[in-house]
Amino acid sequence: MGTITFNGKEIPFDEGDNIIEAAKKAGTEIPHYCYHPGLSIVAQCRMCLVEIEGARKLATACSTPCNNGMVVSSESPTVKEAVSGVQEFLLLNHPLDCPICDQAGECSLQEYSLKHAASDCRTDLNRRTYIDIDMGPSIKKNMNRCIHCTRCIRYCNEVGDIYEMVALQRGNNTEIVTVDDKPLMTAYSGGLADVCPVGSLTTKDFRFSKRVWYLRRNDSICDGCSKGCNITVSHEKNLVFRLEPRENQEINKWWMCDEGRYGFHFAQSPSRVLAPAVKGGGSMESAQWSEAGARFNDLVVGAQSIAVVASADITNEEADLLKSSLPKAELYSYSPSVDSSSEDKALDHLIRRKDKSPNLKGLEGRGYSAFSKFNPSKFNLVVYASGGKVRPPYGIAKLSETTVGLGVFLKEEVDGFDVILPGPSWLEKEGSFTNYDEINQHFGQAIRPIGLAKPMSVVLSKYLADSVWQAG
Amino acid sequence: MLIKRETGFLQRFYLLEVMKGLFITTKNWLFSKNITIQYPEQRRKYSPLFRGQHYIKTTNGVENCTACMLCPTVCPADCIHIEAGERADKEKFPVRFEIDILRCCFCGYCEEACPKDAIKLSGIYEMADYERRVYDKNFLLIQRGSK
Repeated sequence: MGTITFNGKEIPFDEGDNIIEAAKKAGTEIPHYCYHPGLSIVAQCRMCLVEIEGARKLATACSTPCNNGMVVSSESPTVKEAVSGVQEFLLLNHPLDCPICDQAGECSLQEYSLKHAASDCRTDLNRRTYIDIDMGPSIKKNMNRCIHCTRCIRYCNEVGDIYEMVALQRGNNTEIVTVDDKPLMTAYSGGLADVCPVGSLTTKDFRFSKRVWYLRRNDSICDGCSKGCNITVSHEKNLVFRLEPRENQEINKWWMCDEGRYGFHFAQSPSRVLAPAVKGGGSMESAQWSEAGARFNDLVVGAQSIAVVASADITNEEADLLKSSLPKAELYSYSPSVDSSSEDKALDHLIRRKDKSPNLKGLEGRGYSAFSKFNPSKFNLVVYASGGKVRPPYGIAKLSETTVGLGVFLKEEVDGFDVILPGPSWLEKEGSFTNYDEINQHFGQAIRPIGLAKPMSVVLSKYLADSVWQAG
Repeated sequence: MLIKRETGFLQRFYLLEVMKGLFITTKNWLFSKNITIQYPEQRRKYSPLFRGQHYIKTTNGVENCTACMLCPTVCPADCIHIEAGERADKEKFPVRFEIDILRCCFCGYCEEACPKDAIKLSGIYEMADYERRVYDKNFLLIQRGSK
């Protein structure tokens, strides 16, 4: 711990902080492109130049660690001139295609040219152009927009742990390519769009679907696996457009995997069941909530033995609720890839886990037994509760006499169920997940329930008779 | 406040006042220019800045619009709906471009915001219709220009 004088103000810094981090903690942003807290420091964009008293030249704030008593200025005329010069050089070759660029609105180049660059352009030279080669299903490259910060190269090497992007040529003609023009292999390729400060690397999934200034953002937790990565949900008019990682040093740092990033589409799938349905004459027919609810209650009241099978993506709160509302029932949890959390293991060095359900640990802690112990012939009624991405085991509805589905189902899965009561996916409700490390994380609701889906708390309290709740 | 005017002896006959009025009427009837025009055949000249029916400008048969969404962003009436797509000859183009014309308040902000000189307001003001129309892309691609 010590203090530096930054723009005439004493600010504290932690051991090992560079000037950018110290200034950030004090609430000032030093402009930067190539610096990312999660990547190694190369100091090649030269945007973070600051003046240090006693130094002969301007220094880059990213590569200069703070020293006690250092006097730093980011607002002196020399710094301002240098930064505006750097910005002008970067804009020399940048195409003015902001109208068709997905990054527009959250682009560092736009922000810094507004703040730090001259408003006019002094060059009429031709801008350099490249022919872009496809980089696989996740990322769309536009090399013309690149400012050569090499964050993507360092991201692949250090985060993806796979050396597949390189810079060819040099100087003005530098081109960032994948080795031998192969498609990206890393399971974290979506993160390239996050680290790219301009619109050179954008995700194909989000491409042209929305301008970013329309999006509203909510904090949430990824439901893709037992890691429980912190994410931001971007949505507009009750439609989710993308998920992005949110910094949490204890769990996912700054990153998330592609599986989680693109995994939200099931919630908006056209084949999701969005209205209550009951079995009538062989196939499922949509019904009123009152009718389906009454049928559900009749089944529960009439059943001799009940099992609750919960896919391990329901929230802890819902798990508690099922336990207290159906006191007679035996409880089982289901995760597609593992039977119990003891089988769970890390799939790679970074984030991905074998258990592809977010809350198996939480359900186990609440007395839900492993799915392998589930014997369907023992029960008259199986209540299958689904929270979202975990698909029910094949043919679960045909194993027992009667089955009630509670939560998120797709039309092709509901064959054989007796009653379907649609519920919200994890984006549409509030709750908490317990990750593999027993960290209990609360997440908020991002969008309203889609269609006629009703939260489990409403369904259980409204349609189940009091006698059922008190049977235990 | 009521002002009471004194009326003189001659004015109380009214004859002179009636004559005076008739004289003004006759003068306007015989010697002044007509204000009305024969509308469908004759038309008034409007300013080139007049903001009428919309169209999307094309260059060599390709629409100028790149679906950058600045016009729906700036639109105070929220009447422009665009869906972007990609095709071989153009990186980004509007697959769907609709203007809910009954919501439009003809403020011209869309024209002002457009970086590609694509959306324009023509001089056409005859937009009465028998149905509630939403202008689709094909309709907007008719080059109207200003009259």
